Amino acid sequence: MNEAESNNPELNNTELHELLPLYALNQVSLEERIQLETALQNNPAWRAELEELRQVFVGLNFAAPVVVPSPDLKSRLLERVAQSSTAPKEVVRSVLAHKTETKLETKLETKSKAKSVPWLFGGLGLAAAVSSVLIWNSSAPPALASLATDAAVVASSEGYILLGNNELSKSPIVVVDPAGKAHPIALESMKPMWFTEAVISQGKGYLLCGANNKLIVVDLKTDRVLSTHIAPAGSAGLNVVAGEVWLKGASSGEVVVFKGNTQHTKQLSSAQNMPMLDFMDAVLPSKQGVWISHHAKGELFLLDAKTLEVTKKLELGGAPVALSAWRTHILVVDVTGALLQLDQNGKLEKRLALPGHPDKMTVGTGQNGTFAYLTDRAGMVFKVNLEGWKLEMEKKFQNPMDITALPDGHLALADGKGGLKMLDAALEPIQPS
Amino acid sequence: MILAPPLLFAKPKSNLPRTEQRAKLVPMSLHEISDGELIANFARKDQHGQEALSTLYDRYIRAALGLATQVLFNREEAEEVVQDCFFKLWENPGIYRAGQGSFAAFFMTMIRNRSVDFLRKRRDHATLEDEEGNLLPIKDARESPLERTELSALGDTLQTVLKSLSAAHRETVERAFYREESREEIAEAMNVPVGTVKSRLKYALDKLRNRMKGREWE
Repeated sequence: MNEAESNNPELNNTELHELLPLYALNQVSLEERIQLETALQNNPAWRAELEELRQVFVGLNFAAPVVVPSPDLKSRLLERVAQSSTAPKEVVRSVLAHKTETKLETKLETKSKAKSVPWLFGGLGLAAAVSSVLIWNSSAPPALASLATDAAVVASSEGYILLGNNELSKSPIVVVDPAGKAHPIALESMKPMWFTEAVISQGKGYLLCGANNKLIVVDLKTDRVLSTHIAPAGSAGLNVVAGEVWLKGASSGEVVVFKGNTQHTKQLSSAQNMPMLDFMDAVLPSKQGVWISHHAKGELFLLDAKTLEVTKKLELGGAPVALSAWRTHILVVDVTGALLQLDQNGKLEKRLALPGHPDKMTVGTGQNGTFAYLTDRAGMVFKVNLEGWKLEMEKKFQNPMDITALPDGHLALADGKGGLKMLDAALEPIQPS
Repeated sequence: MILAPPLLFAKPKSNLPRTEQRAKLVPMSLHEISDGELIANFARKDQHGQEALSTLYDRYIRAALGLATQVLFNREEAEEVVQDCFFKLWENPGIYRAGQGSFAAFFMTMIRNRSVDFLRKRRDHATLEDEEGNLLPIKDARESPLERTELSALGDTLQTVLKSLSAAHRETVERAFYREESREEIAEAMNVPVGTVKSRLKYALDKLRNRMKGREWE
């Protein structure tokens, strides 16, 4: 990415059109991608051109001059295959340890360096302390960078941290257990991941992938994918309410609830096309029912948890995309640049204008429980004083995608370009002990 | 409210065809059956499966090696990458799913991705040591309904266009597509401004795209 260009807020049509080949090659910055996808929405000619470019790239794979193989290449391959078919599978669990600073390391580790080094948070002896010990089903050292490459969503509960990476790799999902060991989970998928939400509940991790329209359920103790399920188009909102899994489709306008062995669907609004970047919405349980945002129309719905009937519909305006409970209030993030506070019945109490476009939020824990932290993919994390109702702090990161509060008051930040970062209440990186 | 069939905690369906479907393949000549059917035989892990692999190898080895060589500029490394791709496919035939485009498009994308990975790791003075696993990552897989012969013909056409471009335009495409270099890396390597890289790439790809669409080549 060209830094100068990435800071350019507006590109004209000619510049955007010239970027189309680079977009098709996944060689544009986030800012360029946002602008291009917005432009593409209203430009069918460009969309057709993009599809043609993609077909050109398929064809270019066949445009290289053919090369005649060495005479023994085939026999070497078949010999390797024959050996693998007769030899018993050997699974070697190699434990590699690797000292990092505040994120999972980004370079290849060599086997000789393997040594367990716990990664404690500020010497506080916390339950959620994380080490970078890796367990891998191979005797060979893995590329550690793959564990937190393009970090997109993060959740923390029950002593676990659950991380989803927006990239097709061997470890699109990483579970950090209460002992601080990071466990990568392989997942087969044809499309690169675009995780929109992650939730932990009762020993299971739930992740929503908007690109593949999938809900993925993993067992946090065994690091296994328990099941995958078809999710509504543009899946973005996710929560587990009394053992029931609630999903919201940002583009489908649906709510889908998995109750035991049955699936229930409620159409809240008409479906509409939108780019993946706009797959944002939220589900929040409360005593009154389940709150569901529909940002495409600036609406907030309250559904009866048993019947799924809409008991309230609020036209908030803006684009509500994230919801959190705070004391008896409901906090709503408006991605157009605001934080709202509603009472438990949905009445607007306060509105705080914020710079940028925040789209994810967590409320602090412990002594930090009067602060909300909001992430803006463009690079900022905001700290809002909820009692004083003011923006307390804003800090620049690379590509903050999601944030979650840890039980001890610290925070885990999923930074698309910077990896998984552990931060203190002042948004400063926690130094390893 | 719509009640749909139970889904939660259902086990994912296998991608492999049923046994009886595979059994139908046995009496046929391997050269008569499709790529997908050949791959279905890999699961047998027997002599017949190896014969299916041998047939698939014959179909793709020259094009695959050509593509890997185009990326790596090194014959030995290209052979290593290609052999590894065939082996990974043998070990995990489920990575290709019929119905999501042709195998030809899938496999050649896999070859290019693995070649670029190899290239990057070579640049970083590291080795490909983390390749053993249950699943093969295929990033940015291009789906295309076109089969091998059609793609091969398209490749020939595009190759003709590439040769007709100026050396600078051709090199820009080769760096951007085959070697996945960023615009900044290309600009530095070719000693031109980034803007020139963008405009050259746009120009060259327009030529390729228009030719692909069957427009008159100027």
